[in-house]
Amino acid sequence: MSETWLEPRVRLRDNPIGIAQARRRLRRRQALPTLAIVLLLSLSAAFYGSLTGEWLGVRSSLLVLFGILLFLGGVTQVATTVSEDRRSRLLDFHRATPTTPFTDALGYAIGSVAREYAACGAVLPFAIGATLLAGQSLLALGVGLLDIVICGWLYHAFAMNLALSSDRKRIPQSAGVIVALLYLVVFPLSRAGAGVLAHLTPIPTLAVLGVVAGGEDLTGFTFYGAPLSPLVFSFFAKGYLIAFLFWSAARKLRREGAHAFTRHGALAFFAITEFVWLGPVWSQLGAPARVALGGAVFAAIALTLACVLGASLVPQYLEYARCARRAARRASAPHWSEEGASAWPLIPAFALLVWLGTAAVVALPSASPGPAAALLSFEALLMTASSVAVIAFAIGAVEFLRLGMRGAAKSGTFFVGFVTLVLPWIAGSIVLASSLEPGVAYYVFACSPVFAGGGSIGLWAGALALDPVDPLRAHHVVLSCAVTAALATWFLLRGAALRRAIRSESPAP
Amino acid sequence: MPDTLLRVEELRVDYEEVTAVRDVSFDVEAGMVYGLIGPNGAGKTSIMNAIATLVEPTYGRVSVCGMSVSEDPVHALPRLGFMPDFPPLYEDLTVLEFLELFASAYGIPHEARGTRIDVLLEQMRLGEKRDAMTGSLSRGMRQRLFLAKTLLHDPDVLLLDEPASGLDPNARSELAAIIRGLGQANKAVLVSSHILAEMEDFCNSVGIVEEGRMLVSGRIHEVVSRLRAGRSTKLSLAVPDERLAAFLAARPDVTQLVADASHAAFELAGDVAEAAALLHALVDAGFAVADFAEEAAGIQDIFERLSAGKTS
Repeated sequence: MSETWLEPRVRLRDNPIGIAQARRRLRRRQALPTLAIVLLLSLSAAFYGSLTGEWLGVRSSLLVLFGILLFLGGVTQVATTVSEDRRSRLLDFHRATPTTPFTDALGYAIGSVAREYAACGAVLPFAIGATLLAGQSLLALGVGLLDIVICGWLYHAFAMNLALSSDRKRIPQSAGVIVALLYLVVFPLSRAGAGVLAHLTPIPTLAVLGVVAGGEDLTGFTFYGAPLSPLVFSFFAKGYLIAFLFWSAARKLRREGAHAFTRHGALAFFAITEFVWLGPVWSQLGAPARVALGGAVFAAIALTLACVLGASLVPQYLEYARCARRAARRASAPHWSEEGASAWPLIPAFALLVWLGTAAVVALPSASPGPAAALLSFEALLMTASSVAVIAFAIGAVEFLRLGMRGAAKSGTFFVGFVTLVLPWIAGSIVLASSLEPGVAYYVFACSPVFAGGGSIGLWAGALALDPVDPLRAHHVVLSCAVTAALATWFLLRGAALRRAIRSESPAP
Repeated sequence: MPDTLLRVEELRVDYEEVTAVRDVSFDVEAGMVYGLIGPNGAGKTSIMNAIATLVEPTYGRVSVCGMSVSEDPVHALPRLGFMPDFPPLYEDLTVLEFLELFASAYGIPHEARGTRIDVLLEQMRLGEKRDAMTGSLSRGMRQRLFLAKTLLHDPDVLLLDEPASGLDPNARSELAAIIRGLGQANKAVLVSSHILAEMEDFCNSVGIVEEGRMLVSGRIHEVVSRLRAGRSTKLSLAVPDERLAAFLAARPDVTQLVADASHAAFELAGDVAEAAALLHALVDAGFAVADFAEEAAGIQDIFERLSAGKTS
């Protein structure tokens, strides 16, 4: 190319993958049956409305149809298209073109779902008609539909990540099942008044707008105690997840096998996630018992997320070897923020973020026994220590297995995970069932890092709720923390030895 | 525009259990059709993939028209055209739609796309197939469609990985003509193949890869003169003469002699003047020289001298 031409960072118009995928999905022969079915369903709903006059019900049914098309159909299509392009190596062509991975990600997200969007377009006039005949606000319908589309983007971005991360052929079905499971979890939680997870669906928005009935009552919704429209929160909660998931998909579209996040990105994602999801429940934790329960749930989720994110940032053998060789050529050590570098420096960073999130829970003015006591008690210090040990165990074990077992790392991880995380619970349960002395079983449970994390959180929550702490249980938790710390230390030391061995194989600068 | 359009410097590519490319460096200049030659598994495709940014090198630098493909892909990649060894297609797109996809990806303006695509379809003899589904094309047509896709944005540097695989003899001959034409159009063309005969048709430069290492690299005649002790010469006599072998063996400028009463093949040290002096001496000694010629050196010759057929 002789003339100067600069590729924009994201191409909305003339998106090559978007146009090509839309052409494939909108071929007349394949698209017409789908459109015909959708039109027949819409006509049936309209006929029902004309007979009964229940236009609100008709509108709700049509919105469910929107959801089925975009959530189940769309998710499956995105996962199928990306997965097929990855397997056939067509993705390599897109990688070798100057289009940015953000343009490619957008192309897949929009183009693969073209038929579903067209079908939604066919349903739209019926939904508008039903809304007008029911005497309802078209603006509310518009905002509700916008939220459905945004939810679709969230699930499509998730499906894209799944297809870019897994080699399994049934990824498209799996993506659809995961979305369906989300709804199965959300509905009972919403009914129980603990529906913060529902903001990952359009249900709160549609309920607030009066488009659908049921769900959690969201009047008086607050964010860290300040009144906030649940619509704003719902859009923001989905928005940041969409941004991170698209970023992750773009990284994987650029390079096969890339981590979902950079190290800074993962820490930022974790911090934002804590901030966003604690906000709506913060002021609900007024009474000490609720602080205890909320704090325990929050700490457990945060610790689990820290372990998962931390482990996901551990380099594979080849990544570390490449990173070490690059460092050897420039006569320096790998920097912690490099993706191929060892992940152990992330342990204190994640532990600090877990601690900060937990501290925020007990920073409520009404919390008892007060923030200082809640954070400086023996139980709080034990929980902090066990968080560090559990995160160190997760990162250390995965690093040791990836560097040491290379191609067999997955099966090795499964085995070590079973022995350390599951087996103590099976063995302890057997002891518990056969022995009159439950303390013996706790010694067996204590061999699992899950007991260290869960037990210490439980002790801390018990202290917050002003429940007397059983000294025997505290003893077991301390023991479990020590076991977890010992396991983490062993894995980290073995990992360090493996890293030294790999570095010694690296060519001299 | 720099004369060196593609520069590869100290490239290393590691896989889980093997190092595919070990500190490989070479340049491809404008007008060069550079044959990357080696046995299967020698590292040719890994070099190509690293240049096309499909594989992350452990280290090393690849620059296209002076721009690093890893640090400045937005500027470097539009100048690069890549055709992999087994190119996949969207089988439910038409030929025209497939080319439009990549015309858009390479930022060719809307108004110029139709003309550019038409020209290439005619050049690749696919004009009649423009509205056919790509899934209905034969292997040869698919290769030509891919070459059209690769040339679509008029790149300065072309990477063609085993471009003739699966083509019939006619199609190979056409492909050779197209590749020679690209060299004449001042493009830098990097072609990989393990079929030496097809490379002879269009390459003017060569790099031989074995076990991930570049054994030799440069223009063919330069490589030949570097590898050979002298000029490979063959002669034959109209009348057999038993003295021929002894006569040639006695000369200090003749080495690697293979001779009988009628024919001789040897390496002759020196330049054209030495060759003329030897011919003169043969005629003066009464040999009835019917043929005296320097043997043309080709890729096959170079490869046989260097390669042991090892993979990386």
